[in-house]
Amino acid sequence: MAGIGFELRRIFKRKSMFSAIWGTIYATMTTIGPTVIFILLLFVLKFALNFFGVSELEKLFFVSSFTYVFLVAILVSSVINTVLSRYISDCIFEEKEDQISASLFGVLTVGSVVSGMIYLAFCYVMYVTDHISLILVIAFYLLGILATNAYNLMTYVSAIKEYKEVTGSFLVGFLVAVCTFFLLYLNFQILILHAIYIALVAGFFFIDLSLIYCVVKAFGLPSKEMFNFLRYFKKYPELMVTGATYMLGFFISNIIYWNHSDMQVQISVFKTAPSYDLAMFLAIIVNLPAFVIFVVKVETVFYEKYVNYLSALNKGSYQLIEKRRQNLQNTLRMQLFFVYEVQLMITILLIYLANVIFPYIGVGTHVFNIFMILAMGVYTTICMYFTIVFLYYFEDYVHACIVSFVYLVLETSGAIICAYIGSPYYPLPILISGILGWILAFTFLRRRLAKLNGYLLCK
Amino acid sequence: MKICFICEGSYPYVSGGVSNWVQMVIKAMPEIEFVIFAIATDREEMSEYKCEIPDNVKEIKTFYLGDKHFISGYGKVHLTESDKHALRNLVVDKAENINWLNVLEFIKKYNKKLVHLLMGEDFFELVLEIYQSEEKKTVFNEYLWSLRGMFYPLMSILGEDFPKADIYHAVSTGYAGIVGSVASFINAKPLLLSEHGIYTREREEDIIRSAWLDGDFKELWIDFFKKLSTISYQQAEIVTSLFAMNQTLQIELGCPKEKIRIIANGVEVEEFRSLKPVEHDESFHIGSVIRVVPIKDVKTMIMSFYIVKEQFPNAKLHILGSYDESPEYYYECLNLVEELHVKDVVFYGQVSIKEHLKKFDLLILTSISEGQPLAVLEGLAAGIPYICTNVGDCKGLIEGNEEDDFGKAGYIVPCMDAEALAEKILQCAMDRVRLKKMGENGQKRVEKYYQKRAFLVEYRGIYQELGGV
Repeated sequence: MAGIGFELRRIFKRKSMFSAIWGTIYATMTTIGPTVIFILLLFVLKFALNFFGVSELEKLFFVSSFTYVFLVAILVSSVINTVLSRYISDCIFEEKEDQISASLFGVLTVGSVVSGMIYLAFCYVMYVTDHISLILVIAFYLLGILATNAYNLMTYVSAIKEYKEVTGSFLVGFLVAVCTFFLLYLNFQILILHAIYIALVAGFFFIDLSLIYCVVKAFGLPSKEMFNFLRYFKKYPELMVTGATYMLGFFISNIIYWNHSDMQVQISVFKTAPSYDLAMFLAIIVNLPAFVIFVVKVETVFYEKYVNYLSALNKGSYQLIEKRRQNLQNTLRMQLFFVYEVQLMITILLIYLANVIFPYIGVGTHVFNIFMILAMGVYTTICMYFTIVFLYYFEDYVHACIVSFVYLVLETSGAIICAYIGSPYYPLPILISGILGWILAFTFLRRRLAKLNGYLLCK
Repeated sequence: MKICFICEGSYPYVSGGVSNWVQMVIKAMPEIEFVIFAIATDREEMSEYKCEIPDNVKEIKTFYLGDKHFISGYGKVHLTESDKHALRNLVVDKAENINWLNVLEFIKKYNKKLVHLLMGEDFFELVLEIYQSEEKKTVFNEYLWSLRGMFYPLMSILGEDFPKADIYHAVSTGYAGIVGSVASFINAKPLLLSEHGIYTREREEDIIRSAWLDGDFKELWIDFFKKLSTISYQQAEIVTSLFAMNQTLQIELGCPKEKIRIIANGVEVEEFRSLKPVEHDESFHIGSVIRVVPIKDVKTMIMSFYIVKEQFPNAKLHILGSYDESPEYYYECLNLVEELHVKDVVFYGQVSIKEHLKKFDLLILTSISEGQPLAVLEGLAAGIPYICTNVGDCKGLIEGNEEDDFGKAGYIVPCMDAEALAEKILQCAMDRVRLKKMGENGQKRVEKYYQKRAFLVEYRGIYQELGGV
């Protein structure tokens, strides 16, 4: 992630009002650009569905199936991505960059096969039981695989520093999807849901291709060792468990409420809880700035201190090592609390604004009530996640794994209990497990920082 | 009865005094089974046996210190408070404060995990303690790895499975001594420790002279070897020494006086007395039975011969002993011969000493460190006078101890003094009558005090005492 740090430092150094604004936009677009574009796409889709008078049933089908597409993609890629990040870092450190390109194709294969099997199960029910048209089923299947691959590709993208190209790829993919939609729906009069799905397939196909091109351009032509990365799952099982349990924990309340709550709605094979899902979606949006702040802080301040510390660790006296460690610890504490505090203010502010804005965009009080707690829950979860990221930095994989596992267990049990208790308590599990996970992660991080010299020198 | 000889850098891979001594003991006791635990440095250099292995040697297990390297993936070892204390005692405390029983108990407990400990945070804390107590400003990472490197061969070797035996007989302290101590402690069998030279002192000299060690680490290394000796002296039931001076040094190094027995080396005098003199010309033949390695200081020998040759052109120097142990040093010696344009210097390599001995008028030894060299005893037994440097028990062999009045069997010269050596060689060359008398004196001395059968009787007695043969 060192790449944008230099650029950000250059921009922020100018110290003018314009540079501050430009710096923020740049940081936003380079860190969460793809997510912002994706959210934009969702709003466009919502607008299109309303604008072209799609029936409520069709809307529900689209929203539900689309949710499943992305949830499966996120969960499958979460099993791969944390381990993959470590593999990519090691390849870069060992200057075996051709193996990164090779692993890309291995990851795409594994991701496609695994997610393909899951999507196939959905497709079977959609086609055989619910008699949904074959075109839609195939498009659903392809979109699922393409989305999974897009998530996996993002891990590679974070290793190359071409954020502008990546955001550009998403933007062009978005435009490709929009153009395809208009072409199919207006020119060829294809059914609107078919047109949307095919357009999304086209858009994600373009995004995947562009990202593959970016990765190959950055790391060179692949070697033949496509599946070399798989041995990292054996070497670092804790990373796989951390990634998977964290992400599953994040969405487990949704899955439980889809199946056991009075919010549950089912269309075809897809069960959802629209009010809770919408509240969750909005809660994620209000917490997105945290990612920008985190990357900017990590990149511009922590990274430099960490490099200084490592340099002392290799070539310094113990006095110097200890001085740099304390410096690192203080910086880390300051930066982390900065992210925690600023995002807390942003979240509270946006909750307050949401109270004003939601009625105008058709979001009801029920959703708002869930959203308020969920926004705070997502906030605590993201804070926990950032703390876990530092545990990764200091190679405390076991404790990272314990935190995310505890988070999953708390959230699962909490959601099961709340599913039975009923409505007002639905968003509580994510808040409680987020707070406890955050405290646990921070405790582990403090302990690791206190004994960091010993740990790193005894690896 | 089974005896496990523990030999470091000697039998059966390196020829020399200690190896010959071990071979002598084994061959003399065919009724006893021997197993050898050989500690060697390098697999390439030490792969061939340098002697014929007797039938009663049932097993030779070799541990190559150079084979072991740090790898990744060491497991975490959790130490109890008392174990931490024992590790601290071994790593941090000075040799004189070693609680040897606790340390041996600790080694026994963590046998296979000892190397893992070096990568653990407990060891790190101990190194940090030493680093801070000495107010170091050096690169800590290097310091840490140096200490890991210091303990790594030790921990590796102590993690081995040692052969089962009724008696463990270490022929030096150092790694052999500690292996003997641990094997004896684990198997509850007695340890006999025989020292030819004083290992700790020899290492100390090596370390002080070494260029590869920083000053900071020299003291740590010296103390490290002292600790190994302390443990060995304490664990051993009996410690043998070749002569009184070594006994004094052993006591100074922490060996309880009551454990020490002085048993001098011995040779088969008849075998050497009966050697037929080889007829030779008018030249003056100087022999040296010596391995061509730095500690034997062959260069001083060549330089002194250069001085001799200028005044006595008929002199010839014959160097008998292997030169493959340190090829680099051998080539340096050859270069020196070439640079000085000194003729009549012949390197024979490993040959039968008995075949050549009788052609020499004089034998010389230029070692920097020795115990009680068998080569000197053999030369004296053959009636050839010796000029030796003043190391080990050479003075006792050449000039005799208090109770013996046989007279001088040669001369003693300071170490690394080519001129003094040359002067004595020339005196010998000029006065053949005195030379002959000195030869006779030496032969009588060996006959009376350094008989092979006498020392074998002593060792057989010790084996009986310890193992109940």
